[in-house]
Amino acid sequence: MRKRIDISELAKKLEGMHTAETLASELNVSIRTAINIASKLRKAGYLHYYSAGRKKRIYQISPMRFRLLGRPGLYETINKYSKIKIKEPFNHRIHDRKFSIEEALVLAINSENIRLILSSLNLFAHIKNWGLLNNLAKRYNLQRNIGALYDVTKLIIKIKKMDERTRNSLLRGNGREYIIKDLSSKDFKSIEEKWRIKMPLNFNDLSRLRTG
Amino acid sequence: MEEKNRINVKEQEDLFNLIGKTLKKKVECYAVGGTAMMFLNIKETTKDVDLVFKEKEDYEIFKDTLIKLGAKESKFKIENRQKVSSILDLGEARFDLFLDYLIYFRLTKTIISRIKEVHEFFNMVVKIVSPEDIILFKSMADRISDRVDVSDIIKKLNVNWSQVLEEAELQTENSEYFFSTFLYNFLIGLNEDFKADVPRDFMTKLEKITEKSLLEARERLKKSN
Repeated sequence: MRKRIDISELAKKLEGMHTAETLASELNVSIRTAINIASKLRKAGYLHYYSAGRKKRIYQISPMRFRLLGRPGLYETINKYSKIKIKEPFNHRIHDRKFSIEEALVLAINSENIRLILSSLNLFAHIKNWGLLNNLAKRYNLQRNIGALYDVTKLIIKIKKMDERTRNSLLRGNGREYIIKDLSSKDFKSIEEKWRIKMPLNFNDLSRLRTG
Repeated sequence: MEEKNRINVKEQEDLFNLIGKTLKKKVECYAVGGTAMMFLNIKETTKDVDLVFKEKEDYEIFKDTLIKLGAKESKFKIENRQKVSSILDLGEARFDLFLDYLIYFRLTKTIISRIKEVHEFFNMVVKIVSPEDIILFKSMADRISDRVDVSDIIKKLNVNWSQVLEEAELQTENSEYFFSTFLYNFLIGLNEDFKADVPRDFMTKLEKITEKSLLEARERLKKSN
């Protein structure tokens, strides 16, 4: 008689990252069967997979069912839109609203975390509501900082044109001298002067925005 | 005693959304016990919503908001009078609110560093403590339901036992309670009742630590007498 698989036991046994091949060798089954098992685990909520074009699928298996409650938060939004992916320090979920790209960008800059700021700059290419971005920047005292980072990002990658009203408002608005405390680079002096802030990133850091 | 009502994941989510909407200011709290287990998908329902606050202001604002929503102070009291805590009944749910401590457990930096989930409900930000810390919290309470919950955690997850041990030692260092002893007794009981799969080498280490801390306590008592 065939032994029935307890799916939660299996998830516990296989916790971690896998490819179809490692799953097959771990379970001592064929690759086809391993893919079927991966599909069962995914349907039960224990498996997430990453794939990029023709690259191999990476399966992430966790005995804790992958989250269904709430909507994606800061880190998931940035990873969805940015070429520079970041490791999520925790699973951030939002229950009351859809987390916007504008909010993700402002919160990332507010974090004063260099990795988070760098990966969030790709989000300028996806901004739809410049008014919302301005309002959020005003709330977090970051208007001039956002404006300066926009100008810097524009030098590296193709991004949408900011409407003039938002640009003027950001230029006249509030801001912090340092985006990251006591950190300033030697590049982008003209942008720093224009926006009256210190830029924490240099040109080489930003080149990653193109390549990821 | 009257059987308490339980709330499920959806009801808890709706309740938090309502509280979050009513809160006038952003408030951060840490979900422990059954509430945390529900967020981690280990449990479907809970009797009480256990929340620990780090800031007194957040604790007060949250309590006032619950009262504004019609919550009533429960007739039950939490036994540790030295620490700030309240029990409030709101509809089907019972809220156990704590400030900095969960009865005897301190919300340490290490517990906070292990947080892997943060949920936002308007102005209510709920951080979920790790399953390892839930085991420790529950070992101290040691009710039948706590044993069932911990047995579920052990069955469903790969518990990082060294983390459990480290936190038990850290808690013992910073207080007058023998957390490692409570944990040891709890896990022995769990093994007897539920045949829980706790690694043998972990139990051996825990036994040694328990013996050591009890001997040290005896020495301290001798000196003080």
